Amino acid sequence: MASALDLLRRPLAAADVVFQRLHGWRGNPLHQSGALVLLAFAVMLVTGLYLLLFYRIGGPFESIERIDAQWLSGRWIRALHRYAADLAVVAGVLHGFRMLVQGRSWGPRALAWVSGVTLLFLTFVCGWTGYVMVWDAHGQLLAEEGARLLDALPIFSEPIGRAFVGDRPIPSAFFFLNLFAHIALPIGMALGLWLHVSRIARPVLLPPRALTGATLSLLFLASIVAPAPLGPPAALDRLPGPVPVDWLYSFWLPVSRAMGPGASWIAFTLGAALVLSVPWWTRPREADRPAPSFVDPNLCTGCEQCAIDCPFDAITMLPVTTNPTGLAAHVDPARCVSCGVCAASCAPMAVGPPGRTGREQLAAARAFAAERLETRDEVVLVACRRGAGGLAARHEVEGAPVLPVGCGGNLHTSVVEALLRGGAAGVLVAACPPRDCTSREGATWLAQRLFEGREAELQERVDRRRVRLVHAAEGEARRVRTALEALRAEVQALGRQPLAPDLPEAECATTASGEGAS
Amino acid sequence: MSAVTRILGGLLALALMALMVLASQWPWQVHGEGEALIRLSWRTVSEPLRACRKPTAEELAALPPHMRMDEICERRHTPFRLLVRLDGTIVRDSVQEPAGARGDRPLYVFEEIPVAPGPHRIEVEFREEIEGGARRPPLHLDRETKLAPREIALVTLDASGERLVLGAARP
Repeated sequence: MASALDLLRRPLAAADVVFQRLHGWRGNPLHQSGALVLLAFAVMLVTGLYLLLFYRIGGPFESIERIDAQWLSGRWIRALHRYAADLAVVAGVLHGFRMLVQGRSWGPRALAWVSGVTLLFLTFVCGWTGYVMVWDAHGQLLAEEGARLLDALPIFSEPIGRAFVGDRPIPSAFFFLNLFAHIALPIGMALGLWLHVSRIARPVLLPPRALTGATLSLLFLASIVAPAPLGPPAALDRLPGPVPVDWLYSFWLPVSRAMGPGASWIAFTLGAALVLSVPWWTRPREADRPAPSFVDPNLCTGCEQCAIDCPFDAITMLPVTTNPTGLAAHVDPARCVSCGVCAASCAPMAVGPPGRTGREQLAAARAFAAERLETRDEVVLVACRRGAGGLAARHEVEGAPVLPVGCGGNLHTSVVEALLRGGAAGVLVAACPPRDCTSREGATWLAQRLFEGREAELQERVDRRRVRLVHAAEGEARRVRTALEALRAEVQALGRQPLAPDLPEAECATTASGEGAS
Repeated sequence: MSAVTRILGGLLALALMALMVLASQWPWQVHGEGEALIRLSWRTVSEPLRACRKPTAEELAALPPHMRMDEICERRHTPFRLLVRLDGTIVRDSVQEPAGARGDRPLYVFEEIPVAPGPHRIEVEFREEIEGGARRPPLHLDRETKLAPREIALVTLDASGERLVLGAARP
């Protein structure tokens, strides 16, 4: 299964490279897909309120015609509503695909996956009701096919499809129900959104300002240049001819018409089961699953930094009597995704996933330095296994020895110091772009720890000119190589580093848990 | 970020938006000029079958006293046979069961028969499918009609519910 997901990840990585190059990581829409969905919903809310003022259930098609006839606003506002709905689906599908292929859909993230899929389905339902409200030929097709599917289920006393036979006028109750569903569903979806983000800290609900502005500008432009089409009015006495169809919402129509209701329901049920069960069939085998973080109560000072930094709200502070602060960290294994951000945030190295705590990272870095840094002129590349241009799997890059880490956000700053003390002329840390870090805020916290003094910071005695951080996605090996060359040139100009050899073990531990941890 | 990169980035965003707009309104030729449709749709309430029998002693013993009845009657209503001939050829021959899990709800007929536009002779027969003779007279329709391209002809019951009629569906 993992190899199949790896295959699916390749096109995404390739697309990432293009967008990173042209838009930078802050403007890369592929990294902001979830936030873009919410932006689209915000646009739909505002434009929908306007459209609601003019919509009439007694004459749905005529009221839409009147809206389109408002030369100053109506036509493009309806188009904006429609294109925002399209954007919501495109961004929603991308978001789900990204989470799937990056392995971010199982374990504690299963709730977010299942609620996300449900929200996406409700977005579709909302869209279908919206198109039926227009009551043009596209809306009629959706209504008739939807009724055909629902009538195949033994739940209605009278077939819904009879409403569209043409022996009597369509009851206005039908359009009222549609309008009600179109408004009520998004309200219910707000609750679903709360559930969707309930297991993450500081959810990002809107894209960065520049991307928000660019997206809104593009939507405005599209709605003015290409107003939303209004198909021929629904007609129950004629078979529809050519109909402008929103394929992003109605892709299933030709399939369902060809397959018939029974086969369509079987296909839908199997598809839904497959998608909803993703958290179960994509999770690694039990032996391969990373264990949740643990806390060493003898080392925990109760500083709360791990609880602050944890991107998944998995750490709480509990009262204890064993340290002066009266608090100790407690990890909830049901919420911990084993990202290791806590290990990087803990100056005294008291918390982290087994095998990746600060102490274990430090020991590994020292062993690495002893084994690999024969001369003092080499730059070490500390590469995130998930991003960093996929270079973490290499033994060395352009002659620079590579120290792979599970996640850049997992990296304890003492590792950087240990490498420099161990003989490295410089350290290039290659982490994922901040909005693409599988540990969410891991790459952001890493940058702040290295250069901005965030708690568990890189000690002041370390020469920052010898340390660089590059954000590179999986396919961006070139960016890492360029940064490597640049750092090499800079450290060559600096000459040999003046740092003393490695501190004795006791002094190092004291330093790591000393003033910097307050 | 250089100006060229910005321009290329903008062009890419425009291209993607254009793709989305196209996908949002690409026309679909649902039906061609060479298609028309005959739609049969009506609702009727059929009679209960009333197939009753005496319960056995064991069946009575298995029931509490207040639920013991003299007769056990089937609740299912009468099914109907629908036969449709188009230009003399049988195109539908089916038994239509009343709706509901017990088959005791009204019966809904809904059939769609694609045809080529032009003149057609439509014959419809709808009669009770019951052993021992039907209790209701069968319904018949035998009409000639000319269908325009993409026209839908509707066969339904008239207001009295006792006669099949052929007409155009409401727009």
